[in-house]
Amino acid sequence: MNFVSVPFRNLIRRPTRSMLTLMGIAVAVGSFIALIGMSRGLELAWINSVLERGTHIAALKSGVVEILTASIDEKIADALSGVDGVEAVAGELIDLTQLDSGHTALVAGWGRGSYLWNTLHLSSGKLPDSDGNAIMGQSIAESLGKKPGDKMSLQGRQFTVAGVFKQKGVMSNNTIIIPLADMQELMHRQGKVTQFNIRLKNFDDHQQVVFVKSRLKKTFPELSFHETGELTENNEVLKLLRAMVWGISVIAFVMALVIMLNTLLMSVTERTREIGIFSAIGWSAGRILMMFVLEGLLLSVMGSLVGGVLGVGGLHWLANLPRLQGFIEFQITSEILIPVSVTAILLGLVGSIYPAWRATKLDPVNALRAD
Amino acid sequence: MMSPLVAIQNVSKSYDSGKITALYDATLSVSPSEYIVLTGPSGSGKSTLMHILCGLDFPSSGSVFFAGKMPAGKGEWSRLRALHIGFVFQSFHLLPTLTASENIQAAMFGVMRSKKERREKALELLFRVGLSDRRHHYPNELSGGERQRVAIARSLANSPDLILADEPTGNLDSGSAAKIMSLLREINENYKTTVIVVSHDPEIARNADRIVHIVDGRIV
Repeated sequence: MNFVSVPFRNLIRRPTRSMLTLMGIAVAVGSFIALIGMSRGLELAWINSVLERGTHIAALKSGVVEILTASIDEKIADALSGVDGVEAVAGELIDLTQLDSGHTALVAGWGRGSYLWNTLHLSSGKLPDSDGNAIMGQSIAESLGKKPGDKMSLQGRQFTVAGVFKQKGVMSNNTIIIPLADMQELMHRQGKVTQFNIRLKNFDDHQQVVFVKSRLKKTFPELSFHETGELTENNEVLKLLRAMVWGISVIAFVMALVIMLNTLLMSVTERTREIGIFSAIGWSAGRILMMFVLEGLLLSVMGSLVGGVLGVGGLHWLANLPRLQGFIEFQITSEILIPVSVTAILLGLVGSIYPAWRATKLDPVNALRAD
Repeated sequence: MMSPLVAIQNVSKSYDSGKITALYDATLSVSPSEYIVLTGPSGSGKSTLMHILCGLDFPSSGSVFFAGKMPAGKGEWSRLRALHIGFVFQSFHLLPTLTASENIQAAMFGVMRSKKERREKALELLFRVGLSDRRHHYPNELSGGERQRVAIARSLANSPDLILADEPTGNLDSGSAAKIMSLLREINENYKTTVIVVSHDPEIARNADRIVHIVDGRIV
């Protein structure tokens, strides 16, 4: 038997309490990993969907928090195309729409001749060649049970599914695309778009990109211009989501800390006599303190391991649920796992120091007399 | 005359801001390899004296010496208890989460570095108290007599100079009590370990080299 065996045995011999404390930490760690993983996944999905379209700069209405509600005059596209360094501009009207089947889907309207159509990877059917035609991502098509030639109803209007496409990003695969004119009519936003997708002539030359962007900003002060990578950083909805994720995680961690403190303080109270025995057999205050700190550390290390498995496993499970398949994308990296594990271990340390200190302050004679 | 292993000089102990006094001006000197029984009625101050002799409690006034030196504080007493003092309690005081062998090994942390050394020493001690076959049993799986024998084995873990036994037979039947007392006597005779037994049982006191009576906190 070595020294670590003693705190380990203390935990093993009180399985219910140890397990409940461990689960408290595991839930905090697991929910943090799952929430951050999903939020990162959402950002990644967004970036991927924009990158896949070959968009280098997105032009949004300045000062708008919720971009789906923004309206920009579609005629600005011509002026944008005239700026030196711009290769192509594609207006897009996007909205989150409830389908007549009850599903909620992202619906986008693209103009005829838009370069965006060429970025789609068709898995069946063809691109829409007339009004009243729609094309949909594979996930939403599977979810709705639609294939080319089928009819679908959108805001009371019938559309024919012309084709199904499969992109890399989950967001794209859950999008229905219809001609821009149809979308404007459906949304009663004639002549308006939500954003412009801009392709640059020399995207690889970053100096050139910065130069074109500043020229665009100067010429169109009513618009804000974002390079693809900046889109998620500047998005207010994602900022809010991130803040919520952090808020929930902090609450979960504080709760885990309280559980840990409570468990170890109860343990000190219950084991008063044992602490007296340790003192009597010559254990120093430092060794007794170390025993309780190790108990806390063991709980937090095991809790973060279980939490990691729960978080990652839970995300996999969610992502593979038939109803959610293709809707959830997540990103778990060492950048998430390492800080959360370190935080959980520090939590174990902080949560055990006070109870451990209390244990060393017990009067050994009274401790030996305790029931 | 041999210099004392442990001694107290004019030791008094009071509680509750002096309202209760457990020991009055006690002076006692215990030589190496002595077998002493401290007797006296309940509440006479026997346990207080024993706790002071090993640094688990501290006197309100007076001095305590161990091997001719005055230990400085809690830390030094902890070290002395680990290296030189073994304990046997009336309620056995074994750690419930550890087996018989591990209870003995727990007393060796910081004294014997190697895990193998600790395990072998524990086995040897369990053999010495006749419990080799019970080494993997937890305290709640042992009888009272067996628990006390494990406690005695634990007290011997670091080959102490002094064993303090506080009413070691208080919770045992007469048969087990006799075995425990003969074991303590055997340890004293074979290993020249000083043994101080606290007991109010005159039968136990009969076998002592010296009997120290305490009445109302005074050594008489």
